[in-house]
Amino acid sequence: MYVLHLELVHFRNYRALSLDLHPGTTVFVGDNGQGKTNLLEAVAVLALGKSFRTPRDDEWRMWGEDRSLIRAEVVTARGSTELELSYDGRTKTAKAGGVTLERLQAFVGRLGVVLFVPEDLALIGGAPKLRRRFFDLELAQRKPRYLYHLSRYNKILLQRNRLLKDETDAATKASLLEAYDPLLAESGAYVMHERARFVERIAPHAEAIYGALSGGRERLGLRYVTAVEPEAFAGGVEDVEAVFRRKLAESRERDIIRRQSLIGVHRDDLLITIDGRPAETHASQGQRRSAALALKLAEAAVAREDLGEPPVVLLDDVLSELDPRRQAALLEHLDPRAQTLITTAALETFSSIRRRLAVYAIKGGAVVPPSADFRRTSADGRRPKTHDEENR
Amino acid sequence: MHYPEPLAKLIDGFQKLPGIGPKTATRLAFFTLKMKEDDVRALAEALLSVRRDLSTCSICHNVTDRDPCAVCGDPTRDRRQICVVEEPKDVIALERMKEYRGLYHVLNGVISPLDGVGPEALTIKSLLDRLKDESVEEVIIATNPSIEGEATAVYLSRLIKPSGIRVTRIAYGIPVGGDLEYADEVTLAKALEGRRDV
Ligand SMILES: Nc1ncnc2c1ncn2[C@@H]1O[C@H](COP(=O)(O)OP(=O)(O)OP(=O)(O)O)[C@@H](O)[C@H]1O
Ligand SMILES: [Mg+2]
Ligand SMILES: [Zn+2]
Repeated sequence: MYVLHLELVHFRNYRALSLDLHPGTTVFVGDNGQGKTNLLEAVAVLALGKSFRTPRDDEWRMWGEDRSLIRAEVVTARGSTELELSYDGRTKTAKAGGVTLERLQAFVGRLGVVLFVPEDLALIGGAPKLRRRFFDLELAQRKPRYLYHLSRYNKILLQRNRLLKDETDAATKASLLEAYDPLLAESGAYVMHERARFVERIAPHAEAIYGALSGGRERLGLRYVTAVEPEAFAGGVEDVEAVFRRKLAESRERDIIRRQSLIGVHRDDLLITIDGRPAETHASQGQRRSAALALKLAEAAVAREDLGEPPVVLLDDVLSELDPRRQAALLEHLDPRAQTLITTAALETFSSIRRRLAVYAIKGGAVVPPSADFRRTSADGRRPKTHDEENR
Repeated sequence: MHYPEPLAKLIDGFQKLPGIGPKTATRLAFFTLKMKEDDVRALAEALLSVRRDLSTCSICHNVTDRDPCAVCGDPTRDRRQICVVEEPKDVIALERMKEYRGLYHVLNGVISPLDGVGPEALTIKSLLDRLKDESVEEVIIATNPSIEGEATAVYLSRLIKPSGIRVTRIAYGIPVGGDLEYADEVTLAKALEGRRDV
């Protein structure tokens, strides 16, 4: 699926934008603070119903203006449709095909996007919580049952942890744990099972993408780390539940002494290695960025399998920190069937790939397409040729 | 300026009710001023009478105007089944159905460490005492499908099962008259699990 046309009114520093896009890869080049991230943010808000930068909608409404609006003509495998989201300072109104939707939830996900922002670098070096969030955002989006079990798990965990901290007598505490643990195991096993399957599915894609980025010289490894051993996942979710239940029983004594739940999906992690060594401690900046990118692009590949068509890929500021060869490899290995919107402050001259890209300039909340004034504003003064021109 | 004494007293009284803050209490008090005297008297008497004439059944802990309550005292009720519920209002809901002929047991809450409610705060010991009566063959646990309700159900079933009494849990799922098409995936899954032993 892709965005054929995008219109913004009073969105951040875009007073009025009307932009035609094409299905392939488009690079937006511009100086700092010109509106590159803002543009990707607008597409993401249309897809997710909220901004990835802030929970406060007022922040993306143009300062001093009443109403902010994002409208896009989206082409999917089932045809084209118009999506619109506006915010007037009090309510968000979502429309699909001109019809106002009662619930924002019915709007979210109509446009599928996978997003990479510089903050996603923390996926590699940051706290395990961020990697669990990576699982949760993706899985909860596609499976209502995942969200149900995850939030049920968290509620049970709150009660269980409170019980462990209470001054209840040992016998009562033990028999209450016997009551909470089967429930915890049931929902926890479902979450584990889904996370394990997700890692299994993204791993080959991520490895291939990372391999390509590193010119085949480095190997990325992904491993889901949880309370239950990998072998248990070969069976169904029932097997996982049985093992998790046993582990909870084994951990109970330590849980009581330490007064907290020491094992479970709230402690899960995704172990990322480069050539067998943990990326968290050993990887360079560029390697981390490549690994984070590989994860995100793998997520896009899996989303594509689920949706039956590729989601729109939004890559904010991904080229910096990558050496020219990695930059070229990235641009070369993007899914040619997916619409990919990339922003960068400076575009190096890799002429071989560049002719396949549309390169737009962004300046002060305006986007300048290649055909118009781009000749004057492009980073290196060259006007990119389109496919047709090339083949003439 | 202070409210006249009787009005201040009434405002204080209303404020003791759950969910009523000073603003609402004041509004209710002023409303009372405008009510017909007969209505006020009826309300005051109803308030007094709940306190004076109602107590809890010494067997099932349901609210009642006599002890034992109408259900426990009814010789035609089936003494082989006890349905365990959280609150008196759950008994009323089940009785409205006019299908169930067994007895009840009101827990007066659910286990919730976060709210400081442990098993000893509920009527669990009294339930276990009742089960010593050999006529009981099945305990049906009808606590809510919340985490607290579920945990209480598992806790009870683990306490009761060793005695050989059958423990069942009522099924949750699609409301009758509800359309399968509109039931969400989670509700459907729950419904499929159906009634089960716990
Ligand atoms: N609500 C708003 N109304 C108007 N302008 C805004 C609003 N929010 C942000 N801006 C402007 O948008 C600009 C930031 O744009 P953006 O974040 O897209 O920059 P960028 O091109 O991605 O820069 P960088 O290369 O530094 O990441 C800021 O200069 C800010 O003044
Ligand atoms: Mg930016
Ligand atoms: Zn009774």
